[in-house]
Amino acid sequence: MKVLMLIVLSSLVVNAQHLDKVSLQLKWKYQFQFAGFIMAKEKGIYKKYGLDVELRELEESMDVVSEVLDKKSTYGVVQPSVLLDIAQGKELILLKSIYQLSPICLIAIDQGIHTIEDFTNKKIMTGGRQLDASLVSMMLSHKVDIQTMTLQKPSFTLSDLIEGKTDLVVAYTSNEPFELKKRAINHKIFSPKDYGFSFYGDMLMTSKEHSEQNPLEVQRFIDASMEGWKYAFNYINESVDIIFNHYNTQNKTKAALLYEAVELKKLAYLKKIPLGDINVQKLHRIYDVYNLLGLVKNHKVNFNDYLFKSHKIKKTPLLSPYEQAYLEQKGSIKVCYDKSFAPLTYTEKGKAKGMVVSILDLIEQKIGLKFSYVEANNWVEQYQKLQEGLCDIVAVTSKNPNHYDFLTPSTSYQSNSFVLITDTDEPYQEDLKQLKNKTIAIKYGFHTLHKYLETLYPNIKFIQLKENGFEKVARGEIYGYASISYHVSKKIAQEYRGELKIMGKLINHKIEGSFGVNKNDDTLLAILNQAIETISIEEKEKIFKDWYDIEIDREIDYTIILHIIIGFIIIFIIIIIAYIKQKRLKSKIENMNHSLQEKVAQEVAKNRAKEMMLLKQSRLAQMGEMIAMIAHQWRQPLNNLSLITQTITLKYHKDSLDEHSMELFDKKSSKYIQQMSQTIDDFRNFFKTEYRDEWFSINDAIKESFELIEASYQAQYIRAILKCENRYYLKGNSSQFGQALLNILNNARDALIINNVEKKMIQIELRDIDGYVVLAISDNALGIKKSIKDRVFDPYFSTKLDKNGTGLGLYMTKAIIEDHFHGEIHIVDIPHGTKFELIFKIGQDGCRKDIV
Amino acid sequence: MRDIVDFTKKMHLLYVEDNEDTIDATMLYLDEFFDAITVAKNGKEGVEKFQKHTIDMIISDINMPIMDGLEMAEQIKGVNPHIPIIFFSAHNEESFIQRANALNIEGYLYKPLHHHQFIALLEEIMHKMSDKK
Repeated sequence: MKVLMLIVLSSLVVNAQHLDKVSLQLKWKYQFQFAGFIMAKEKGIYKKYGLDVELRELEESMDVVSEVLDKKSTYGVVQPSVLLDIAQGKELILLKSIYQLSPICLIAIDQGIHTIEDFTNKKIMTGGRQLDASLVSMMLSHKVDIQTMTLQKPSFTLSDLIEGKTDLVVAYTSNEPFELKKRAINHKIFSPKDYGFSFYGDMLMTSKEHSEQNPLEVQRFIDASMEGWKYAFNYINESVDIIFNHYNTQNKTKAALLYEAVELKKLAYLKKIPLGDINVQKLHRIYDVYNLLGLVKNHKVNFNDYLFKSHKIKKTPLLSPYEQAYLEQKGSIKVCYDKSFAPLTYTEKGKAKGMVVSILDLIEQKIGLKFSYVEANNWVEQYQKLQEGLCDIVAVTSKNPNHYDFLTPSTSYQSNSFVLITDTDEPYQEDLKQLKNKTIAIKYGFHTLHKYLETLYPNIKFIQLKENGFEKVARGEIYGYASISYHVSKKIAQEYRGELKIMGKLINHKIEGSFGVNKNDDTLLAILNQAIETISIEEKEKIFKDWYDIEIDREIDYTIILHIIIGFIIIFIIIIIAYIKQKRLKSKIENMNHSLQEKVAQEVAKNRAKEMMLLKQSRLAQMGEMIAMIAHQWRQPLNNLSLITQTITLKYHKDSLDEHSMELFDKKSSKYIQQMSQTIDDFRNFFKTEYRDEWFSINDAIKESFELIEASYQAQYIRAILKCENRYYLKGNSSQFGQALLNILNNARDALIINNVEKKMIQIELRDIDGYVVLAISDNALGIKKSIKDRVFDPYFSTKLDKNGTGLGLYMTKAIIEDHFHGEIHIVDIPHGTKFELIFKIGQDGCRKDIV
Repeated sequence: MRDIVDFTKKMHLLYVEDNEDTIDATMLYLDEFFDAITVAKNGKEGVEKFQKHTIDMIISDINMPIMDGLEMAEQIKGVNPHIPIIFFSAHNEESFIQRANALNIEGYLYKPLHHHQFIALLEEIMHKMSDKK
């Protein structure tokens, strides 16, 4: 039953697919010599590759090369003399060589012929074949003067030879010897290959024009034919049966076909050369022989130009021939995308852009798929267009949950958190489930997500917005707006810095982004899924990071202009009214003053909340930094330990491991282990999480911070100079202060490395001037560019995003110094470098000085 | 293994490294292979000791003060292009490898050291040298 189902299914698939009609002109009558092509046709391999191939036997006075050039046949099987045609300027492309060696040979039964030298003055019969160049070369190389030989009219039987009418016949090692053996006639075979003339046998070719116009079809024809050949040689008996029953135009016996098969298989598989291989050097060697024989007029031919270049589809064997045929027929895949979903998809200068477009570009490169883009004005429209058949896929849809019954989501290409943003003034909410009677907007068209969110948060009112939700939150019209974090953080960083913040995740799991494929298009779904599989995590990360860093030109929003014009009209009316009613104007101004004061108070509160959010984000980044620093500190002792263990092993094998050396090893390894363990402790103390305000020494904090990064400084030969006059103390969390210093020190180190400074140097100076403690950290890393100087303290600003910069380090430093320690932080330009100055007022806000 | 030790024992090694601890630990290991080892603390000292003694082989760190291992190798290969030089370093940066390749260096060993890699490298050098003879 299952089998039946499979047969029905596969026949459906085959019937449904489009087949390209092509023809193959053989160079002789059907026999095992062409078994691969016959089997590819008979076993449905050509069909599998989307091809309907007609095989044609050679007819009298037919020339295969002309057949192909005149487009009577698409492909042809020829002999290596095709090189001469190419040299004459015929536009042909060689695809494969079925036989690494030619079966052509000369056969003699005359007792007097033992060696080639004996050929002189003999009669030779070319049979149905030509006296080909390899035979001529073989004879010439043995100084046989062909002029002395009598070339006889062709005959198609061996009887002439047997009856002594001729001395030599041109034959195939795979055919005639069988007849002679059957009749027990002693004979001698002279094969050019045995005399150093290794010519190719049958070669597959097509016209240059055809291969340029249909490279994919040619590739499929090659792949299918070679699959057929592998089958034919692997299942010789079955192949012989099929030829015997259906292709036996020459009335050969099964035994003769079998003999042919065994002989030809030897010629097809030579040493370790892959089946079908054409080696361009070998072509040139064959051509050289033609040259020596004087058959060549045009001396310079680069046969490399006449070899078929594997189409890149071949490099991704993951697609089945049917899928490849599907793609070829389809041309390009139409992608609908939302023009306002930056950085995932958006329109810029009339072109589709964004992270997802980059992913599609990568797929184009890898698989050879072609995409074309159909813009949708909003989220919903992309689905409408898909339903209307205007496109094959939508660029972005959520895989979990998906409830669109007209599409199937592909494998996800990226997952992202679904986060809530609010005004920075809103108090931080640990558990979003506690929110009550708030309105949160989501993008218009997230219908299923809408329902899902409602079940998660029954106390929150969710609405879908067609307009800009960020703006509505910023204006205080709604409590929050929710979207995926890529979209949100980009928008905040570029347009609402300081106004909006990320409150937290609304959905615990990550939303998986995928392509939404038309429900009926299972083939496309399978292709896209396989394509997504080929993209490595690194490639994905690179794309998403690159896009994250790109400034997106904002589209001109005409509704804003309209708002402005309306705004002006309103103001104009107000002024007229105000002019008439001066008294009311006065009270209005008072009101405005009042709200201005409120605004100032709000601004101050904003900073606190913002910092809370960023503190969380920067923790991860710090962990990464910490691991890198530990790795640096551990490298030397780890290496030393490994040397010691290996020395022990060596000594043990040499039997020279005595007590003395064991003691020495023990002492030394303890020392290195101690070093490594100390590193861990240092870091643990440094990054302890409990928060306690206490007096701590700035001098010690500097020392502790510096010890952590000392190894990475040494590794880069950065000279560090510490200058401290007295002891100074601050009140607060010493670990936070240390982190602030670390950020500056790491930053300076990275700048020194990136700018490749000759004599890298960092100076830390601690002193007091006019009642202020000044901690100055200066480097000689050539300074900060003017264009970015104003932005280095901005969150998400980083010049090292491609490395592992998060853009939070200096922002956090500034927040810590200003808010927690009531200090100031400045950047000062110095010759060849930069100086960070941290300034704290002595005597108040927890800063004091001890004279040592 | 025995072949290699027989081969190395006859050689005079110049070992160049700036870190005391590393010298300490590495010398224990190298002692198993070489009877004569001269230590230099940086590239400049390495060149000086190379000129003073008859050195058969060099193992050197790359990143060192005063003169780094690459510059040292450049100078020494300038005098004796056939002397085998092995870099033993934590560096696996592209730029270093490219520079080192240009110097026709026998090999690199990355920290932490793998015994079989070291053996393989010595074996290679041994064959190369016996081929020359």
